[in-house]
Order: sequence, then C-alpha cells, then structure tokens
Amino acid sequence: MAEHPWSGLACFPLLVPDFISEVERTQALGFLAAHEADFGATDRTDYWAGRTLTLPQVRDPATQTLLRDLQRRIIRTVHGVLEERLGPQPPLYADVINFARWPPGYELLPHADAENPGGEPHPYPWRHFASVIYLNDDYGDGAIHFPELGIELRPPVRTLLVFPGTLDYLHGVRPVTHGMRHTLASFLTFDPAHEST
Amino acid sequence: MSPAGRLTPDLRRWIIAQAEAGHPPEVMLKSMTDAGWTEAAALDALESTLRLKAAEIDSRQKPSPGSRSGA
Repeated sequence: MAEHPWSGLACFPLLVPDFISEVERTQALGFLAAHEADFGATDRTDYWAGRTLTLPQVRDPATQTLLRDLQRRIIRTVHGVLEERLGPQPPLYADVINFARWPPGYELLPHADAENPGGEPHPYPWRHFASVIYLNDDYGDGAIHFPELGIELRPPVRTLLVFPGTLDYLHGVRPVTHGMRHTLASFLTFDPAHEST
Repeated sequence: MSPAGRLTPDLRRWIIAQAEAGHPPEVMLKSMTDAGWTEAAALDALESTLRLKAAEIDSRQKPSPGSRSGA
C-alpha cells in the first residue's frame, strides 16, 4: 500500500471551527428545506438512495455558487496546511461535493475513503482527502468516530473536518437516533483526471 | 514513543494520558523533542491531540438541541 506523507500528520483529523459563516449555513439549510424532495426516497436496500445531492443535482444557482466557493476554500485550507508542514505541494483538485442527509437509524460502519484493508481494490483510490462541513445539530447522536485513533466527536455546526483517505483514518458514523443530520461532504485529490466539472 | 514526526494512536494516547495526569505541555514537549521530534512538529501533535480531545469532551457534555436522550 502506498505510503502517503500526509497520512499520520499531526494536524489530521483537522478541525476548522467557523469555517462557514452563519449566513452560509442558513443559506444551505434554506436550500435543503426548499428542495427536500430533490433527494428522492430513501431505500433501506440501497444505502445512499435518497440521501445525497451532488453539485450537478443542485438546482439553485446561488447554492451552486456557494458549493463551488466552499470547494475552493477547502482546497486552499488543506493545501495551506500541507505546504506549511511538508513544503511545496502539487495542486489539489475537488472531486465530488454533495449534501448528505442522515435520517434516524442510519449509521456508517468504519471504512477509509481511498483504501481497503488487506490491499483490496478500493473504488475511489484517488480520494486523498475527505472533508465534512456540519450544517445542523438538532439530531441525536450521529457522532463521527475514528476507531484507530480513539476519537469520537460531534463537531459544532459550521465546522470543517478534514482527514486523509488512508486506512489510518478509518471512520464511521454512529446511528442517528432522532432528527435529520445534515452535512456537506467533499473529497480532494491530487489527480487532475478526477477533478469534478 | 512513536517514530518522530508521526502522530500514531499510541502517541495520541500518551499525550492524553500525560495531560490527564497533570503534566504541563512543556514537559511533554521536552519528552518529544528528546525523542527526535522537531519542536514545530511536536507542538503540532500536542495542539492537534488536545484540541480534538477537547472537542470530544465538548461533544459529550453538550446535549443536542431538541434531544430527548442526549447525544
């Protein structure tokens, strides 16, 4: 398995409080309230069905602009953190960004975003970093946990959380007990072939 | 202690245990630089570990609004 210089850097998982403004959070939540139907129906046999909206599926121009701006800011933040610690870095590119909603009962078992245990092929090996922006906190549990690191937390709203896609950063989400958990998830890559358009 | 410059789960645990035992950051910093860490990397490791631990504690103590059972 490839050894990545950023995996194990002390700064990851990176927490950036107040990454988005309250105005931006309100805009995102307003979009979600107005476009709930765009998610479609959830389906217990299809884990992600009815739970994500990617940038191309966002039908509101202002929200599209917001997501593109957030992608740029996330890249700038991560690139800056890497260059500060590792010296000059190649460009980072934004892969997918999507709203994710987590109804009661949903959880995510521990996994890595770019690697599988035992060197098994991963469907998204180019996802060098994952990021999550927390949009609300009126739900029960739904904590993110990193079993290998012994970390479990519910970051405050407006916080950005970033971590590498390597097995060092296995992570899962505890079951949501009530309410709807809303996040903005995105992935960054050094591979320009996987830049989202 | 873990290889210098790499923040392993064992080192995270060590930092938290030291902090919980009341050892001041400068003592932990000295131990890490003695083990081969640069001061900047050791400070990064201490700051990151303790910040995440504080966020974790805060997560546990703060009930979610509207929560019936707590988070």
